[in-house]
Amino acid sequence: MGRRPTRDRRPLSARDKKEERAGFAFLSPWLVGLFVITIGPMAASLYLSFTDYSFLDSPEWIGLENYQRLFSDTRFHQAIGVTFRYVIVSVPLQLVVALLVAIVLDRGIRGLALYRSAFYLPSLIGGSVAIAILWRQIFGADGLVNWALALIGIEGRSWIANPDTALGTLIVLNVWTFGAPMIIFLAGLRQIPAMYYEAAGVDGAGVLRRFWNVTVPILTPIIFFNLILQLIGAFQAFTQAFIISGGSGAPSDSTLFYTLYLYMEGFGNFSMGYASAMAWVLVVIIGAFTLINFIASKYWVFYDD
Amino acid sequence: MYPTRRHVLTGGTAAALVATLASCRSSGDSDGSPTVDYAWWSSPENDAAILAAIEKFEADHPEVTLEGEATPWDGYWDKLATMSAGGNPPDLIQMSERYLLEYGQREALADLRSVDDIDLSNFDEETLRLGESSDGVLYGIPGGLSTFVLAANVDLFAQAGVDLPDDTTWTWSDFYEISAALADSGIVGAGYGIGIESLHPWLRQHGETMYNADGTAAGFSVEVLTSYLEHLLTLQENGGPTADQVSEDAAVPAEAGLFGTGEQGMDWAYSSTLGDLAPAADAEMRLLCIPSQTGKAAEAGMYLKGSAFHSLSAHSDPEPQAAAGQFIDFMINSADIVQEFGMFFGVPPNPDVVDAIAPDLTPMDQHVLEFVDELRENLTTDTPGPSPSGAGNVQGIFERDVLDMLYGRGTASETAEKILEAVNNELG
Repeated sequence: MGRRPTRDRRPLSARDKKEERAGFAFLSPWLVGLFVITIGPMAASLYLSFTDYSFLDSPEWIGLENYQRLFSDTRFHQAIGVTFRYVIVSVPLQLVVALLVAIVLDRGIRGLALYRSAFYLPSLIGGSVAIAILWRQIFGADGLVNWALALIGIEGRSWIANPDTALGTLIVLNVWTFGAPMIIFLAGLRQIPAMYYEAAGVDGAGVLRRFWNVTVPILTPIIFFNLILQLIGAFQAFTQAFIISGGSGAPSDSTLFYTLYLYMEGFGNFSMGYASAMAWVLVVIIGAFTLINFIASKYWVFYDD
Repeated sequence: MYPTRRHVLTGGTAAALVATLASCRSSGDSDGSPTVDYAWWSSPENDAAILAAIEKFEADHPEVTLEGEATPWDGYWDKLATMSAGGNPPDLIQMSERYLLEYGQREALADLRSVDDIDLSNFDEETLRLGESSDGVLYGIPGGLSTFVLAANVDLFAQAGVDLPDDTTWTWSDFYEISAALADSGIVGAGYGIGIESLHPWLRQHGETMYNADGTAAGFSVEVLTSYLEHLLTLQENGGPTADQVSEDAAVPAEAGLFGTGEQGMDWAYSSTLGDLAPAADAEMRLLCIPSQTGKAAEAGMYLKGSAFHSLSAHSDPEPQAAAGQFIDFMINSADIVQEFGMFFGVPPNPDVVDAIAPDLTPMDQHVLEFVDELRENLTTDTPGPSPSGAGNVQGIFERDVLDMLYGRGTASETAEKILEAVNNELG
């Protein structure tokens, strides 16, 4: 967040203009992508959010009706509740696990590259169909978890089928895919100069003290970066719930993520206008959360420059 | 590095997982060699039979090219909606009863009576009504007929020492008693059949219907719905599966569920699925008429249901549409083709074709055939037309709210209020 240099507004010479054109020419693949794949559809969805659009008929302008409907739609409220619970529990948990594993790996153990890859692996398969099967094997009535519980004499139940615990299994899944933030933490840890630790050691700081007073403060920009990324990702979580619940938010809407409901309304229920309105509300929610975090970051993020 | 965002994207593609079975061929236009795009929901048996049918048809009509695209059920409807919205629907569409009017009333489907070459002379009124709108437009022809009834695992009955009921006279209290007796032998008694298909006969038994006449609201009262939910709770006390078991069952294919693996004595099923369920459970199975209030099977409110409808897009060019019409005719009237499918979609609706293929059917399929034939003669309930627009989500509402009730999170009457409101929201 450096200061932006003031721009010099002198008129462009012919050569400058030519260079400018060349610049845009080089940018064009990206610009085409931006306008055709991002901004165009976004504008279309903003328009559609004010219409009744069933996919098969042409859209019909209904003003704010879609947005008003959100207030009385109990399933939408359920989706909001599920999503917030998921975000609030899984994001901090995932960051803590990622940081702890990164610290362990940063100790310079042998075969670091192997471990790093092994821990990253779940992030690659976290959204695949194989996970749906694996998760049933682990959290089903006859799954691995209950097998382990039976060894110590506890009779488990079907964690994935029960509406009280189904969301928990998805949170565990998200925490398990901590590879990406871990890699970023690891890179951040590598950049902390050893002399800080040495100085702290000379002053008599123990392991915990060094962690809280050296590692954490220097790492705050990285933590902040990971927090924002994971927060946005968690709000948009879709794949895991879609695959594990078979696209229905089952059991009993307990895994009905925001995006899953949006998708069901749009593609299952032919309510594209309503789904578009939901998408824009989600944009506002994510934007608000990000903004709040940026404001709050002034009080806890420490930039060492 | 934005891995989370990438997740979302790869997830999207995984969701739209599509098996394109036919290789790409150059598409001929109006030069007398039409290319017909054909979409269906896939399963291994289905795909093999349809591809064989396509091959036979193309051998007979060398000028026509059929390009098939098979998509699993869940993704199929998303894909069909997207293709339709993009103005590029397939010419030939496999339709479900649930979505027939959704598409038909938005003028996405052609009236099959207006298409030449589809010979309907062997189809009775009842059969055609399954794919017809209330104003008589024929949007689809069923690939098979089935009925939603009870299936009994005969081997488990024997092991439990329980006699098979006389299904022409049994009542609901017999049903609970038998379920409880089966459960005493350490298995699950009878399943709930949660949803539209088992509610339908219950409503008939109480003189009500699923939807009102113009399809804009539920046709049943909160009292009768409450009685249905209380019936489910009674079954829960009498050998029905636990809520956890219901929830786990819902997530796996029928062949992998409790009944399909021989751990449950009775379950609700489409008659057409018995041919797959019996070998999966490695047991002898029988279809049973639904219990009634009065002890008369004719008053049990059973009805016929069409499956795997053949429909044509209303937006095709004339040549592909005509060729697609010929293909439908082939699929419903050629014994040679229907042979490929056997009873996979239920009893073929053309009686002449049934006579031709009957001798080669497995004993289980012959049992299903006899059952449905007998039922057809004794049906006292009018065959309902296709479900109204917006009905596609109704089954989901039942699954969600009834499961909650089975978990003890609401009484029958609270749940009934909730379901009724949700159903009316969908239809309104």
